[in-house]
Amino acid sequence: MENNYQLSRIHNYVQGLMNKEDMYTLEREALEDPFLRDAIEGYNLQHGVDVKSLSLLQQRLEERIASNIERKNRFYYSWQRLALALTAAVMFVAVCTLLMLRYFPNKAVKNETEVLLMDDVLQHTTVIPMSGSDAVPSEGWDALGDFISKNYSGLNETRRIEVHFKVDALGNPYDIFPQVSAESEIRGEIIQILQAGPKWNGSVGDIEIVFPE
Amino acid sequence: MDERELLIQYKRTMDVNVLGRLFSPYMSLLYGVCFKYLKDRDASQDAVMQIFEQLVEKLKIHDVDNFKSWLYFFARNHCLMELRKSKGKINVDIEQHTIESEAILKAADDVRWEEADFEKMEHCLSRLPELQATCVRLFYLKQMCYKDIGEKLNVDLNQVKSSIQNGKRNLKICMEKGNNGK
Repeated sequence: MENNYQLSRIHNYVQGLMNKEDMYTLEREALEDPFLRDAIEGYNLQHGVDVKSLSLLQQRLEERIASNIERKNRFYYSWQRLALALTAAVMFVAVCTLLMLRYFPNKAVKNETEVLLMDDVLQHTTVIPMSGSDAVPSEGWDALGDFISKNYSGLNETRRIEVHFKVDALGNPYDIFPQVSAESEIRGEIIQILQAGPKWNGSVGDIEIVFPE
Repeated sequence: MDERELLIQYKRTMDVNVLGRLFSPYMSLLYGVCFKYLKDRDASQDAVMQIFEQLVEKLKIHDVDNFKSWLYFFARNHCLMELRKSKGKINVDIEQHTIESEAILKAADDVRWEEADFEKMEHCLSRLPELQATCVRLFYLKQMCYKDIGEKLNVDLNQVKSSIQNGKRNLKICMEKGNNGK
């Protein structure tokens, strides 16, 4: 407001619209204030105050300030975006790491499983019927093999042992003769396993038990 | 918030909006000053905006006590530089510019004259060139405006103005001598 008042004083002075007292007051002020004096001289050269130029100037200043605020905001938002991108990147890496951590142990377990499967095969006992034998385990040869594997001590050094036996009416084996020396520990163990094991169908059994290596 | 506080705030925050609040009240005066030197509307508008742009950086560095005076000198120097760039060489009225500088420098600690000094003033006035003495008397003692003095003495308005300015300066020098630099 003060600025507008001063401007209107200058305008009135330059246009000769002031009374003598006001003219004198402004001239006195201008003598002490070179800023005001130069401005009056400028407007005098321009033959008055050009409101259009001044309003254009005001507009330019406002636009300049607004552009700075916008630039500041843009800068702020770009930082915000960068921060978001960084957070997303960190989260992505974290998720990837978690997935990899999950993936590698699985792989290890898988390897272990493969080893165990191989181990199973290697440690699995197989029972093969020999010619002239009519005895068949009631639960099947595989079940018999499993049963022997589970109950076998594993201390046997002889890999293949042929066993002769007979089957009674109830399906229990008797007269079991494993074809190993009488002193061998496995002999008694086979007899015990077959006696405790599955029932048989048939009457004469002649089987070969193949122990794992 | 006064100018001093706005200056401090700008220096602290570097907020152009604050600088705008500081600069805006002087824009019309600045335009007038620029027009005085550049004598072109568009060039004067551009000069005002260029001054603003320069202030954005300058006020971060400089400690300014009296913003109005500082701004005036800064603006005038800018316009003179612009003129030098466009014309290569400029001539300014040394008398006028010396007075202006003195006025600014003395503004802060202006001496207050005592009753006894007014006797010496009469003596100093009598030693001034006739036109200067008459113009000073009519302006300061009779409180007549430039126009009336010009009509009364039948001289050009600019001549009245420069006679008063130069008379005032010479009077001041004379008075200071008489008061041992008071």
